Amino acid sequence: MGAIEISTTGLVAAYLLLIIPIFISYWFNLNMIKDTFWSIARMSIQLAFVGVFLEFIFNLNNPWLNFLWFSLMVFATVLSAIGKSKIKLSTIFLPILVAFTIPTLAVLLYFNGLIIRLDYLFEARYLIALGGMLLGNVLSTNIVAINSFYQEIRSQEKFFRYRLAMGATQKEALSPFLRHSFQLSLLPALAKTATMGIVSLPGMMSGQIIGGSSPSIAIRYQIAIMIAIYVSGALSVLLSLLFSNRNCFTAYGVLKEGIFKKR
Amino acid sequence: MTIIEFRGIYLNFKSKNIFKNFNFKIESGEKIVVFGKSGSGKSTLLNLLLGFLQPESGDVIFNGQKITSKNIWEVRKKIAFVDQDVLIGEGEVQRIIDEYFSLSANSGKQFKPAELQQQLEKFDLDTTILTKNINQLSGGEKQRLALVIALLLKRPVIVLDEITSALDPNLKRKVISELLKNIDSTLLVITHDKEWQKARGVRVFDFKEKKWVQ
Repeated sequence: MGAIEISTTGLVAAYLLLIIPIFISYWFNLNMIKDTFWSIARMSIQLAFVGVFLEFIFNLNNPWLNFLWFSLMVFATVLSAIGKSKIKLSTIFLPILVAFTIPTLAVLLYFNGLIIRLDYLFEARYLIALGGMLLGNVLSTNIVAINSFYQEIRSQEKFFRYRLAMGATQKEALSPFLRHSFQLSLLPALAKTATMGIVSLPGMMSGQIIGGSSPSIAIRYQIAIMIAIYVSGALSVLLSLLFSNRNCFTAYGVLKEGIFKKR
Repeated sequence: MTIIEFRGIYLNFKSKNIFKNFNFKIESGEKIVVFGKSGSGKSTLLNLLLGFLQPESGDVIFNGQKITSKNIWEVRKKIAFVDQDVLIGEGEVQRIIDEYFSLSANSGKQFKPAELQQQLEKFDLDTTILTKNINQLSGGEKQRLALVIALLLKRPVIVLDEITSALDPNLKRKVISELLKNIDSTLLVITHDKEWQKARGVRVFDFKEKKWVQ
């Protein structure tokens, strides 16, 4: 049993719902009508393109094309993460690219091979859909981790230098900052995981149930994907901070001055 | 034996000329006070020694070896450093002390509780501070705690940057006298505090004039 198809009339009915927020905006003079139209139009066009493209990729199901698409997703995630960080792109692009690719790909292949036991590990449907979920989370955790790590070292440079001065190795001097960035970036994901099913009903699970899967299958998928999300998030944060710090500190262990973007 | 030497140092920092062919030597076991006004750049001396800054030309030499990015990590293990801001960590005081002893640079080094107590008492600190959060300590208490950690580490060189800034005059005299009679290590003090100049057994270097005055 698949999901019931939404007809064109059905879709129009969905758009009609927008009358409510538009009316609210008009009534309270919120000045959001233009933004609402713009956002909804943009979303519709983007999704229409992605829909056509994914349809094409899924039908072809070519391993090279699937991998290329996945690589583009990683690339976009890396650019987005560094764009939202305070560090210059040229300083950390390569380390972050490696730090995002290894955990996401490793967890994805583990997931496809050992959890859902696909015969074909690069199956587009799984590689791209699951990859997107993992990367979305890798993006949000790493923005927090990278920013907090380097900004805290900069704002607490006296403390960092004191540790170095007392003979700490680079790793020892960085450890309190590493610890704090880890907690800051991963605790929200853990809190979200702990309330899953009570506070938030996961989109993937709802999607599967609507798509015709039984709730028990959907729940198993959801548990596995939550674990995969957490593992890839934690591993990517670790690798991001470890790999990027090679480019961000001098051979004397001091934070380089020119790594931050100019305001 | 010369333990620290600055040889022919040239350095401009924040478009200010700090050193122009600067030469400075410290013999092992000496107690040296580098005296100068606040903002005169005298802490730059420590930044050069600890590898936080590199001279434009000239060498900083420790134990006969030029300091490089390769050996700086070993040099730092031989120096105990205390600065005026004493940002040494967060949380319980005892845990902070233990953390510094758990650094690989201090592997094999231990101190007995009695030794810790003795050092704390010398600097007018009570053992009850050990269970306190460091944020509950005053600036002066933090400075003395950092001194206690530096002394417990028993390193060959102790470097102090304006460490008596948060102490009242009586306590300041006590701390200076305890430091000078207590340690065999080489002592390098950077200060603008005239109290240090009055201390016995120290050699005083005027940073502005770049010459020995005592």
